[in-house]
Amino acid sequence: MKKLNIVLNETSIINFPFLWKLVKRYKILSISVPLIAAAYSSYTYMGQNTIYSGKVGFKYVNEASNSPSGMIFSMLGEKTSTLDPTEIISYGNSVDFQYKVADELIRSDQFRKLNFNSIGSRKLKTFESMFKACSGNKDCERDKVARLVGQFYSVNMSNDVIDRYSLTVRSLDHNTTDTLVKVVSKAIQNDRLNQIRYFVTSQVKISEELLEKKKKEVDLEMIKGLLDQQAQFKVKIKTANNRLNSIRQHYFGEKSRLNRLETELSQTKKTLAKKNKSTNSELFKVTEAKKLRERVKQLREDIASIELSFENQNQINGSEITKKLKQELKTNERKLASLGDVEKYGVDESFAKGKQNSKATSEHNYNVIKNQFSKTSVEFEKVRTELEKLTKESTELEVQIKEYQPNLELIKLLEQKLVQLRLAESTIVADLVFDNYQSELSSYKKIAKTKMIFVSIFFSCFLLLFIVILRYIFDGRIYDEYELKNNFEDLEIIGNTPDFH
Amino acid sequence: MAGLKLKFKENQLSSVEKPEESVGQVPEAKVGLPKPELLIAVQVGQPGPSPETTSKDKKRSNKYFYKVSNHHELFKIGSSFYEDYKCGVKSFAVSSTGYQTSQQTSILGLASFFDHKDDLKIAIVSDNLNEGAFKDIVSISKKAKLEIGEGEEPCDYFQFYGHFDFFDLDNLLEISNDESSASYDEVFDNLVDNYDLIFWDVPELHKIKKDSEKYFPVIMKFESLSIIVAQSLSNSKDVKEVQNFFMGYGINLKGLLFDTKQKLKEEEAEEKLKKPWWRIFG
Repeated sequence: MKKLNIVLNETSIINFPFLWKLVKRYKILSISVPLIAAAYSSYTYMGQNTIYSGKVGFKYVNEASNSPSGMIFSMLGEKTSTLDPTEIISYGNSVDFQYKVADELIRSDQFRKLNFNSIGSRKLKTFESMFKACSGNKDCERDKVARLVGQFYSVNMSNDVIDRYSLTVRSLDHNTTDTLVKVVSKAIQNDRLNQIRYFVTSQVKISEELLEKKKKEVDLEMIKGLLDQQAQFKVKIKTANNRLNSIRQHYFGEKSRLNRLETELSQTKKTLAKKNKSTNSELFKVTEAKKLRERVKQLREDIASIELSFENQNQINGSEITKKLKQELKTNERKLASLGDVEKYGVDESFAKGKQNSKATSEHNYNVIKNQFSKTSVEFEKVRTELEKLTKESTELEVQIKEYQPNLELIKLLEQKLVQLRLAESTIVADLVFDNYQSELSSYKKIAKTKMIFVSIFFSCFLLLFIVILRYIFDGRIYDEYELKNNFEDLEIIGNTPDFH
Repeated sequence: MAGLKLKFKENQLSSVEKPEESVGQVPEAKVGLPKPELLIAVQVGQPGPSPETTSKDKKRSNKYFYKVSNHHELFKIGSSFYEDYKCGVKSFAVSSTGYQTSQQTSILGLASFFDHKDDLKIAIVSDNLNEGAFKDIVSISKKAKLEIGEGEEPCDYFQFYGHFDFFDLDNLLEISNDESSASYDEVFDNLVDNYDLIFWDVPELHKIKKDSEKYFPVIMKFESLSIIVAQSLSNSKDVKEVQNFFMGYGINLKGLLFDTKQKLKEEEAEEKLKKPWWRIFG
């Protein structure tokens, strides 16, 4: 304990000056420990195997904008299985994948030339000695390769680029590294492709099964019959509608014509009755009034045309003619006014005569049209009734079909989905895209020279410190007055013994 | 300055031994001498030590001196011991975790310091007089006898020119453990009483533990114990063991002396013994 107290220091934890003193005291140890450490480091460094490393980059392109498959899937409204970085990094760790790589390697021409020794192995074995126990058994070889191959590769994520990864292969042989880079990268791509395909295929299968199930649940024949019936109704209704429209047009045309003929006939009858009641003087007045009206009308037209034509040429001549015509107009208007109300005296004689002649024709026409209209009315009513009946039946059918509508919609959707999935299935590509060129193979030692020197120095110092302190603790000898004082605190140090020449 | 020339009785030294003249001139005296652990420089042309030296002749000068490389450290520890001495402590024991040479060097240095500081009668008790740092000094010291117990055989000791007297601990223990003696600790009591200052070169701990009854009277005479800790060699566990052992006897522990050169010395010794690398198969 006393010795430990000497070695330790309150401020610097270790009493470095004393430690330096110990180093100088145990010279052989102080020299041999670093020498041993250096020798061991050199031996370790020289004994290391040369490791050949190869690297190939790849990108995870699951985003729709980056991947053709993604884009198609996105357009179709489908989703592919996604990978998170941890899954990608640990991609090669699955036993299943290792077996796939093993299969690829065994199929490769280079298989017998590959070096499956671990990068940390001290004693290297040949291919034959490694697989000697299998005695040519393919399954045994496959198991062994699958067990060994996992240690040679690793997937690392890029720190700088998002979704960028690299496959690094390390082995003790240039050819092995090169082959493994190619085989493993291909295996990853294929495996990923199969995963996506499996995902889509599963969806197709599930959709097919569901569709089949739904189809079984619903009586499609009956629904089809109903739908056909509905379609027939639609055609019938359309035809009836067209017919009704056509009849309706004819019906209303005849009706209008009948009304006109009826009015005309009644008016003729009224005119003829009025004529029979009027005197000769009253008839003259009517005739005179008619003439005057025509003359007034004529004059007005003339005045208007003269005023218009002479407006810019000869205003004086024009105004004179107009003046005369206006005077004549006034005169005629006065005459017409003096005749009084001539309308009460009855109709025009000629008009009445004309009406008398056409009365029979009008009656005949009226009767004809009336008969025709009654026939049309009957037909119109018939078609309208038929249309109403058809519409009613169609509505009932629609209600019946609506009950089956959800199932029908689902079947329809499933069919659409199935088409989409089959389209997607045929366009699948892997979302892990490897670079076309791998980086150049590099060779190095597991522990670099500088690292080894640094570790060696550190280890030497630590070991030296430890051994020197240990040696000091177990060394009972007293080397200086300082130690003497510490060991015998209760005794006085008188001084040094005299020495004689 | 390669080292401190520690003079015994500086005020009585001859002109030849004055510091300003002697500093840096030692190598001349070493020529032709075998290299001891503790170097004793002899002035050229001077005769060897006179066997006639007695306690009365103490004030006489001699021709021997030690050179201390870390004189300031000696002064420091010497002052500390001197303070204790002034407080009445006169029996200083020096122990270690098996570094006898270092113990002897320290005792010699301290004894020299006290000798230099005051006119004291100093005794050094060790079980290794013929080895280590004491070897050369004892070899040139005069053998004498001292009666330290009534009816006891006189004890042999070595006088170093009246500066310090060296006693062999084993001899003293033999006398004290003699069945005929009245009291087993009388010998050590008399010894302490006979001198102003005694330095005990404490034997290795395992020796004491092996025959603790025998060493008990000696231990009980320790008034102060210092433990030498050799840098990079001594184990704290062993030091603790020594400390706890003597504390068990109620000995006052003065403190720790730190030997920084022991490791170098041992390495040099090992280096000498080691064969050249090209003779590994030889």
